[in-house]
Amino acid sequence: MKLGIVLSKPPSYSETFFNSKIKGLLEHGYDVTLYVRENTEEYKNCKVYNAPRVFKNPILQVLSTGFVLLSLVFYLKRILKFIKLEKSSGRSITDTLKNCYKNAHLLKANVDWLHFGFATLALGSEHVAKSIDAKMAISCRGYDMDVYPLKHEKVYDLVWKRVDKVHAISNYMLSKAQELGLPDSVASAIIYPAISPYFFKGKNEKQFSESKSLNITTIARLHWIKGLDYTLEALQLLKQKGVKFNYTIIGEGSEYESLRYAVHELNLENEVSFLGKLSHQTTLEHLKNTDIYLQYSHTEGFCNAVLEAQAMGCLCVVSDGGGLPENIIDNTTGFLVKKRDANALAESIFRVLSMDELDLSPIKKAARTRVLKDFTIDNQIQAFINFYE
Amino acid sequence: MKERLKIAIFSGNIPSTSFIERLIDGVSKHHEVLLFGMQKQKVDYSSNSIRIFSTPNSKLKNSFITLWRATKLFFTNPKALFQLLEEVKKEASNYSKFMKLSKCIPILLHKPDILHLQWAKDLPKYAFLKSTFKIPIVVSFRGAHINYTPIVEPDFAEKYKATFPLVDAFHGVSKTIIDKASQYGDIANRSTVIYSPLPQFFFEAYEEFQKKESEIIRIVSVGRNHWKKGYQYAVDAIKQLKEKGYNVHYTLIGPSSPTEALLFQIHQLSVEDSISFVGQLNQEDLLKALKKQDILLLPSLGEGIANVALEAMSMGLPVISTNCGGMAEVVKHKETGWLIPMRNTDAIAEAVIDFNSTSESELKSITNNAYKFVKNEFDFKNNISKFISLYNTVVKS
Repeated sequence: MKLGIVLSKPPSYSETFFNSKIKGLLEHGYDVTLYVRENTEEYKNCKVYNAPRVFKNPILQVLSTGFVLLSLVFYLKRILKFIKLEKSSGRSITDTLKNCYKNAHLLKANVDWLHFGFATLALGSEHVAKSIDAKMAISCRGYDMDVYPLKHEKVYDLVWKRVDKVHAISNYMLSKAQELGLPDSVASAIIYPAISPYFFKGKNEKQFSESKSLNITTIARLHWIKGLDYTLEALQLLKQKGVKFNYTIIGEGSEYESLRYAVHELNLENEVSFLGKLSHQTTLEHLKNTDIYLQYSHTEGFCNAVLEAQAMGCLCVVSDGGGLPENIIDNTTGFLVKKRDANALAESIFRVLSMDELDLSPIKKAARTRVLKDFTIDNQIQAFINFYE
Repeated sequence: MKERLKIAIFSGNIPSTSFIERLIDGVSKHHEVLLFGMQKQKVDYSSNSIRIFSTPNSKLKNSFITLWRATKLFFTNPKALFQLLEEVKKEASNYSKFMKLSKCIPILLHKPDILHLQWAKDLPKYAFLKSTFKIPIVVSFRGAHINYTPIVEPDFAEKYKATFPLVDAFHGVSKTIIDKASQYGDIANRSTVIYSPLPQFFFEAYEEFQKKESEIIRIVSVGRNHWKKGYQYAVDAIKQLKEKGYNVHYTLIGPSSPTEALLFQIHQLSVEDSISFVGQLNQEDLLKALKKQDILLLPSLGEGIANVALEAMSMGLPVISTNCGGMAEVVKHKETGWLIPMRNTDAIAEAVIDFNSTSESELKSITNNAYKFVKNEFDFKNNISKFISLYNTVVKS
């Protein structure tokens, strides 16, 4: 089976789950090739092809277009088919030509499946798979379903018509796709993310203790969707109730300024630290010392960080946004809190703190057991093999 | 008093924001006003006391003009040119060296009696005009540059500490902001509170409050799209009010479309039908739009004193404001409006409910108090004369 995976860039070293998926499929005899928009680093696990570059300089762009068109001469039949399909869907000539250029690397591909890693990556490439006699798959992961379509109406209409199979990382993502027009007639599968075998080592049992202050952690890009402002407000309420804690945010992003300001205004300077982006390894070290893991996002496709936190034996308190209720079973493997409500989050954390270790320890255990049992890479790879068969 | 002074009102941009333009207009009736900075668009001032010595936006045009100005300075005051070149050398890149040169040469050519910096953040860049060239500097504290720049960019705290001693006088748009700035230097005895003047226009629009017939409570906010404006709390509050059964509509004037974050929030909370976005309006249209509303909401997380709240108060529109920046100096709870804590959805919703159940006669008295207060403290002529006497004290000393 030849599989082409379309991504914006090759998965970085730290994206272990992605790398292990590719490795796993290779081990099962799959021929995997990556097609990317920008090749940021040498990728060793499989072959990588780049999309033609888009130049700002018009002269370079004309030269490059000529070169790319020339290289497509040997694929004339595919190109004609692509153009015909584009025309039949009512695309303008300019857009069709742009798409020819943009998809040149894909139009040369020899694969059985062309799998777009995010739904947005399939936009403008809807007709490629059919033109090269491959099947088309897309993954629905989060932003592509939750936010992008709000700004671009009916953006996936053509994708739904052309796609052969849809992969969603959670039930929530699939229902979002259906809301956006994915018809029931299109085959789909929910394949949850998986965690690296690293987590199976050690036991990671910890207990709250009155003597030391509580360590609370969130791993998130500093982005509005992560609800970090609401989290900080909840922590201020917690501080007012006399709880001693340290809160660590791991991640970087555009909201740093507003969050930093919030920390100052909420008088949390001594409690909160922004650690920026850390390596996967260092992040896990932090989780080792974390008592409570918070993920108070407005929405999540599923959220790997919460999986990893559970595997590391942290008690997870998360919002009920997006796919998080599938990630945490309320009161059994952690706690769900109504989203966008700082009071509710503060109360929830406070309640957890007042609970007995005898009640909390089974929850942490259940979380780790469930994650290690149900979210393994082996399961994930088997699910993907079934997906493509 | 010296005859007419040359006052440089410097905001970096020509034309500037509306309140700085009003200052320019007012001061030009007493003194000559020099404008330096990047010219973004053409402006015509009717007064010939306003003179523009702009730095053109086009790089090519700027190169020629700067060369010409440098030659002029070379022949009139060669020492100044060489001192400036020394100063410019401190910049990191060639481009910033050139930009600093092209922005500062006209100031040295037309040497103002006072350089009035409208934005505190410009002070570190231009303080050398005082230390090297003895041009007296006045700095305005208007909000963001004191309230959060030094917090999110800590090196500004150091820069402020180093340059505040050079400044001849400070102007704060509120008492609160001068208190805040005091942590960067001993400035109290060089500081004056001058509230930003409001155009007469709004006072003329004042009407005694009357409850509207409509069943809908119309809430309005005015301002650009920025996290500091706290719109997300307003949207959360709208959701809460709707859940409690109140028929509310929220209008945002300023942004023509929501940010991605607000768009998502509105969609997730299913309040699309209760919120509308109106683009930026000119003052006349803004006034018309505000007349149709029941209450102005300022959900902000940081301001000096928000002009829009004053405008609402001057025209008789009730105001709910967070206790941010200097807002507490004007919005006194249940006396001139509703003052609520920041970042607090419940408080916004409660204030709207409280407003809704307040009797018409009480609302009449609250809005009338607000009008009188603003009329007293924010009158245009009064304010300009305060600036004029501030300039005079600087020149005398």
